Amino acid sequence: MNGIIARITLRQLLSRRRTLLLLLLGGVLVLAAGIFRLAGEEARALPFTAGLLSNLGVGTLMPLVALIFGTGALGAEIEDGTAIFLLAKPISRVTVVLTKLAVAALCSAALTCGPMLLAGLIAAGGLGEGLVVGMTAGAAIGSVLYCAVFVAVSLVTGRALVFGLAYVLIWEGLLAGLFAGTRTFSIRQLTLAFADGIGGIPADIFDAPLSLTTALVVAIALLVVATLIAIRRLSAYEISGEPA
Amino acid sequence: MTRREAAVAPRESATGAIYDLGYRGYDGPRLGRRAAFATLFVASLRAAFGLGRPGRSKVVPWGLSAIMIVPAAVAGAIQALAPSGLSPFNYDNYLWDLQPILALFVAAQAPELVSSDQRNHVLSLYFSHALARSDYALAKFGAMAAALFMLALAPLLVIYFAAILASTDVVAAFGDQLGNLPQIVGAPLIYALPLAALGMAIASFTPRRAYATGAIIAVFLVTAAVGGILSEAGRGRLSLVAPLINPFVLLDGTRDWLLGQSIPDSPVFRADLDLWVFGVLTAALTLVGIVAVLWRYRRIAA
Repeated sequence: MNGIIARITLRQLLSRRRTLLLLLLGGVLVLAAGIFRLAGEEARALPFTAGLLSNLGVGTLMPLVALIFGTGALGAEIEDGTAIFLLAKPISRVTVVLTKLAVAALCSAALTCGPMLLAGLIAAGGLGEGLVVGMTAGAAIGSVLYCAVFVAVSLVTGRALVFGLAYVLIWEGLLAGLFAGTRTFSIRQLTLAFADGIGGIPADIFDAPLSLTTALVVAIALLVVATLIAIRRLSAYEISGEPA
Repeated sequence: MTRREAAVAPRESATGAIYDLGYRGYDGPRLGRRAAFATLFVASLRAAFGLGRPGRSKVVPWGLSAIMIVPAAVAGAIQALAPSGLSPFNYDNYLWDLQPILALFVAAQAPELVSSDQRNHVLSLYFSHALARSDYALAKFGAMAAALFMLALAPLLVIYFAAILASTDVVAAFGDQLGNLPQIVGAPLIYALPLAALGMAIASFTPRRAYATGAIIAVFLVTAAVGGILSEAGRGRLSLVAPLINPFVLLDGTRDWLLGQSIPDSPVFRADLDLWVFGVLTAALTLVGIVAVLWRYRRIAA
C-alpha cells in the first residue's frame, strides 16, 4: 500500500460528475423503497425488500458501480497514456496494483452499501430479520470481488467496460437462467450466498441457490487469481515511446 | 533538415523562390447533400460492425452478433433432429429473450458512432461540407437503427430457413412459412428504431465513450429492475403502470399490438392494459430520442 497513490486514486475516482451519477443510481434504489413505503402492501414488505436488494441492489447497482470504479482505477490511466508517469516511479508494481485495487474496492463498497442499507431500512421498515444487514454485508464482499475482476480485465483489454458488461449481462444474466452451473462462477450469486449466510435470512423470505462453503471457496480463488493476473499484467507492462 | 525547412530556407537569400507544390482546385462533379448523407450513413453502418477498422473494433460487434444467432441455430438443429419437440424460440419471443444482447450492442456501438467524433473535434469537418447538422444526426441515427435491424433480423431468418429446410417438402414449407414474413421483418423493425433512438440520444450528449456506455446500460438495467420489482409489490394502479418504464416491455407490447401473439413470460401478458398504450409510448420514446439527437447537434459547438 502506498499512501500517496491511494490519495490520488481516491481523488481520480471520486471526481464530482461521476460520483454524482453513481449517487443518482443509488438514489433510484432508495426512491423505489420510498415508493413502496407509500404505495405498497405492508404484508409484502419483506419479499419486496428481498427482491429490491437482490435484483436492483446486488444485481444492478453493485456491478455498475464496481465496473466504473474497477475499470477506472488503472485502465483509464493506461488508456490516456498518463500511466507511465506513475509506472516510471520507483514503486513496486505490486504495490501499485494492490493500492489501486484497495481504493477502488473501498469506493465501490461505500457507494453500493450506503444506498442499499438506506433502501433496505426504508423498505423493510427495520432490519427485516437479518435481510438488510446480510444483503449490505454481502454487497461489500461482492464489490471487492467485482473490483478485483474488473481491474484485471482493464489490464488485459482496452475495452474493459464492454467486456465487463458482457460478463454481467450475458454470463450472470442470460446464461444463469439457462445453465444453473454458471451460477457457481457468478459474482452476483456468490454475493447472494454470502448475504444469506451472514444475515441468516429465513428461507421463506430469501434463499440463495449456492451454499456458503462453495461461495467462500470460489470467492477466495477468484480474488487470488484476479489479483495475480492484474499484478502479472502490470509487471509485464512496458513503458515505451513518448508520453501521449 | 526536414522538408518544410528546405522549402523555407531560400527566403534568406536575396532572390527568393516560389515553389509550385501542385495544389489544384477541384472542378469535377459535386455530389451534394444527398450523396454526403448516403456516404455518412454507409460509413457509420460499417463502423457499427467494425468494418474497415482494425480487428479489435470487430471483436465486440461480431461477438455479440454470434451470440445473437447461436441460440437460433441450436434450436433449429434440435428441431431438425427431433421434430416432435417444441422449440423454445419462435419469431415472437426471440428478441424478448435475447434483449440483453440488443442492449449491449446499443451500449457498446452507439458511443462508437457519435462520441469519438465529438472527442476528436472533427464535427467542424463534417459541417463544413454539404452535410447539414440535421443530416449528420439523422444519418448516425439511421445507421444505428439499420445495424440493430440487421442484428435482430439475422437470427429470425435462421429460424425461418431452419424451419423450411427441416421439412420434407421444401416448396410447400416455403409457402407455409411465407405467412410469417410480417413477424420476421416487423419485430426487428419495432425493436431497432426505439432502441437506436434511445441509445443515440444518450450517446450524443457525451464525448466520453465509457460514460455513454455506462449510462445506456444503466438505463436498461435500472428501468428493468425497478419496473419488475414495483409491478410485483405495488398495489392497484402502481403495479399496473410500473412495467411501462422498461423500454423492452414497451417494445414487446408494441410487437404484440401490431403483430399479435403474446409471450407468457413477458409483463405485457400480465399487465391489464390496452395494447395500443404500448404502441403510443414506444412511438413517443422513439420521437423524443430522435428530437433529442437533432437538438443536440443543432446546438453543439463544432
